[in-house]
Amino acid sequence: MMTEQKNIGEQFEQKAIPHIDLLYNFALRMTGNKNKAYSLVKETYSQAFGFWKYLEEDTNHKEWLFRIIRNTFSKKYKAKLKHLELVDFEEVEREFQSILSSFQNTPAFEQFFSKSITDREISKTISSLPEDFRIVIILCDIQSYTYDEIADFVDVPVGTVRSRLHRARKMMFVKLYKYASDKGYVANVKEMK
Amino acid sequence: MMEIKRDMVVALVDNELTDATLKQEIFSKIESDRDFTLEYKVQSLVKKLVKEKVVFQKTPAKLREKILKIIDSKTKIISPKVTFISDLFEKPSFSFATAFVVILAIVLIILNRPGTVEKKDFAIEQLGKDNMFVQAKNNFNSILEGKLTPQFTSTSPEEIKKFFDNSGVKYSTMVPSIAEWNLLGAVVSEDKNEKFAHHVYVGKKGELVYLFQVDESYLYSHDIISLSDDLIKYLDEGNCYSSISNGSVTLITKLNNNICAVVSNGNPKEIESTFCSL
Repeated sequence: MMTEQKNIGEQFEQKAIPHIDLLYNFALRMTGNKNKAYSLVKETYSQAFGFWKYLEEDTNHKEWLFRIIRNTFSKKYKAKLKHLELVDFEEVEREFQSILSSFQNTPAFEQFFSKSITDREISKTISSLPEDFRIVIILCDIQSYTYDEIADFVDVPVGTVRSRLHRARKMMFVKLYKYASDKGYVANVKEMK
Repeated sequence: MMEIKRDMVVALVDNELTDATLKQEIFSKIESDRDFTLEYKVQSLVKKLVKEKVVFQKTPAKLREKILKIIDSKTKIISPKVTFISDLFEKPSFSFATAFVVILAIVLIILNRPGTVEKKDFAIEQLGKDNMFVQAKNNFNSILEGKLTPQFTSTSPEEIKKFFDNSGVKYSTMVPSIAEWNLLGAVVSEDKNEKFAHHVYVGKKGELVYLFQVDESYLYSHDIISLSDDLIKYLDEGNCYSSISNGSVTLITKLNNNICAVVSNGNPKEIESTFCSL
């Protein structure tokens, strides 16, 4: 029995711990805060260890850990963040079109964004997205999940994943543009309307 | 030919289209329609920015160690110690002598055990203005001296929680209802751009209980607020620490994911039995 427990501990260390960096980065982007990411990953592993002995042999450990961290995140923060989740898509679309029109004769906006936007800004922007949109960006663009994998993970149809990614990237574009505009990298958005 | 919606451009950007004809149709649309061209550029750009600029972070070594410690302690807790004893008894040649020695040893251990579980005096390790224990004691003294008064008064746990939320406290707070203790009010303090939750109860004889709570993650990172590592470990093991000095009792305990410092001028035993078992 003692050996069995020791084996469970060793197995967990060998199979679950190697995914810790992926989980930590997921937590970091979901919470946008190092302290919260720390706490979320710790809680995830603590819960995972409790259920480890009941796992089937063919379980995909990475996927399973990601499910736990997502559920833990939802339980811990969702109720608290609910008031931040409302998005006026018409407004986003209006701003998006307004920004694009300002680039009418300057196809060089790719160069502009690549130069003026840093990791910090990207991370902040991802963290500011509503959870449903944030998670698809993290899974698709950071963790390189396929649409099928994301659909399975967030439990929505593939079409919804595509539509959320579409909107999420638009929201990010608008936010990043506003940031660059506030910093004086470009003329203020309002002046261009 | 099917209608091409704008969000289908996303599938192209993410290399999720398997139908070559559809792929070609979307490419043609991108070339001929300016809106689609821009849509494609924006989607590709944001994806590229996220992929290229987001730096993959290494997990802090302390977190890794902490998790390994949790596993280690859980493995030890679950391990049944009875196995060792029963293994010894299974050896026929030693069974009687072993049984006698083991029982005698257990009896001696029980007889020589101190009345309560020995606990370290963690209070002497709590130093500095960022220390939660020190801050809680100072705040309680300020309350008694009338220097610190509630920013919000209410007897309702829900209203106090709402006050914490609306005042910018980022972690989940707990405001338990406690028989014999009425809620008085709350304060939100700010340190290094982070907001912290404090609330106060009053007893029947006017004695006060002050409760300062912080999400445990703040204490693990030690950036803004701290407690000694030994005390954090002691709390992680499910213990509640109490210290009595100058007529007040200070408890450090864990309530869900929050570490709470409780200071009161009430009866120490009563405070301990109430607040250590929340």
